[in-house]
Amino acid sequence: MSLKGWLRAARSMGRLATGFIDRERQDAELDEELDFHIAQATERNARRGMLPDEARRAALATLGGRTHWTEQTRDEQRSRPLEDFARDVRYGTSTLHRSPGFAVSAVLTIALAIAATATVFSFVNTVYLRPLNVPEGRRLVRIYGADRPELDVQLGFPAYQALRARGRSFDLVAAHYSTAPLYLTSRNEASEVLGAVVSADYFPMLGVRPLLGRFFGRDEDAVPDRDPVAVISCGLWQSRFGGDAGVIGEHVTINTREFTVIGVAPQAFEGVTSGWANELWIPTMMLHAGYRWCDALQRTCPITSVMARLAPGASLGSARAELSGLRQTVLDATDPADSIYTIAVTPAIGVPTSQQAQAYLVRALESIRRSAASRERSSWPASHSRS
Amino acid sequence: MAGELIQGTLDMLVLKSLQVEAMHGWGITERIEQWSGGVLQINQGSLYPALHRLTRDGLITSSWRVTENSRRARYYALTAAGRRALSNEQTSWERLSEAVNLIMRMAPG
Repeated sequence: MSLKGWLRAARSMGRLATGFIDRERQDAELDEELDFHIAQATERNARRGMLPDEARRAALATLGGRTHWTEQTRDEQRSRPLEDFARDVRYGTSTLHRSPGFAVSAVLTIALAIAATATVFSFVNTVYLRPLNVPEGRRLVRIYGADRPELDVQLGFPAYQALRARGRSFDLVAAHYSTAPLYLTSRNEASEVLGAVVSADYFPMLGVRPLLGRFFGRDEDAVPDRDPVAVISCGLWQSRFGGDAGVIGEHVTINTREFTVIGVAPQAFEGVTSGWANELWIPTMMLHAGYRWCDALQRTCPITSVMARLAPGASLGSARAELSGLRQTVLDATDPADSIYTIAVTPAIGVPTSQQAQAYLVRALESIRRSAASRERSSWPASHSRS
Repeated sequence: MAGELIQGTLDMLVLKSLQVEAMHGWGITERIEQWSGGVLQINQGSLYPALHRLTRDGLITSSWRVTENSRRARYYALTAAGRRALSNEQTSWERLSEAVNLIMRMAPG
C-alpha cells in the first residue's frame, strides 16, 4: 500500500479510536446545528405574526420525536463498539475496586492485554503485511490513479479495458467493485448482501477453483446486460440455500433483476478486500444491476478498481516502467473530473482504502470487547464470594 | 410534512436544492417549501437523517460556516458524485411519474 494510503489509514484509525472521546463534541455539534434550525424557524414564525412563545413552540413541534431520531443520527455517526468497549472497561475497573479478588482480576487483565495484542498484531498482519490469501497472491498488484488532493482513486471501467489491451507486464487484468450492496431475493428470503461486480478474469487471476458449478466465462462478460449469471460464496450457500447442490441453475433476484446461480466459491474465499467478506459475485457486464447511481461502464462513473497479475518474468519495477509509458493512454480513459495525474501500481497486500481499514479495526475491537465481556461474566462468582 | 414522501424522493429533493449553491439544513427546508409553492414542508425528523445518509453515501459534504447574522451553521454542498446522482434520479423520476400519471388519468370503465 502506498505511503499516502498508510497515512490516511493511520489517521482514520486514530480518528476512530478517539471517536468515542470526541463523542461529546459530535453531540454538541449536532445540538448546535439543530438549535440553529429551531432559532431560524422561530424567527420566521415571529415574522408571520406569532407571539414569541407560540413561535418557539411551533418551531419545536416540527421536531417530531427529537430524542428518537437524534439517537439514530448519532448512532450512525459514532462507532458503537468502541463506546461499549469503553463502558465495559469502566465497569471492569469498578468491579476490581469493589472486590479484592485480585489474583483473578489480574489474570483477567493480563489475558485481555494478550488478546488485544494478538488481535492488533493479527489485524496489522492481515490487513497490511500479508499478500491476499489466494493461490496466486504473491503475483497480484493493484493499479490505481493518484490525484491532486493526494487521494488514491479507482480507475474505472474504460481504463481497465485499456490496461487489459495494452499492458504487457500483466498476464491477467481484472476489474472489480468489491463493496457492492446487492439486494438478494432467494427461496423466499430477501436481504442485502455484500457483493462484488467482477470481470471474467477475476477468478482465474486469483487462481481459485469453484467448490460447485463454475465461474463465469469471458463470453458471459462480453455484452452489457445480456448474461445475468451469479456466483455465491460457500457461506451464503450454507445459510441461504442449505448447502443444497441443486442451487446450480437456480434463479434468484439481485437488485430486482433475475439472475441464475452458476457456481459456488470455495470455502473461506471472501474476495480481495480484507475485512469485507463478499458473498455474491456478478459480472462487470451486469454493472447496471450492481450500481445504480451512474453508468459504471463509462469513464465518467469510475466505480471499478483494477487488479492484475504480474506476467512470468515481470516485476513490480518493470510494470512501473511500462505504466509510465502507458500513462497517457490510460489517463485518456479515466474520468477527467478526477484530475488523476499518474497511474500507480502496488502489491495487492492488505486493505486498499482507509475506510476498509477502519471497518476491520472496528470488527477487531468488537471481538476483543466480546471476549472481555464473556471473561468478565465467568469470573463473577469468584469475585462475588470474596466481597 | 404535508403529504408523505418516500425516502428516495426526499433525497432527490435535497440534492436538487443544493444544485445551485451550498446551504444549511434550515435553508434546504425553506427552499423546498418555497419551490413547491408551500406544499412540501420537510420536518427536521426527516431532513437530518437524510442529510446524514447522503453524506455517508458521498453525495454531499458539509462544513461549518458563519451566516450573515454571525451565527454558526453547517453548510452542505453537492459532490461530483452527488451531481451525477441528481441527474440520474431526475431522469428516473420523470419516467416514473409519467407512467403513474398515464395510469391515473385513464377513465374507469
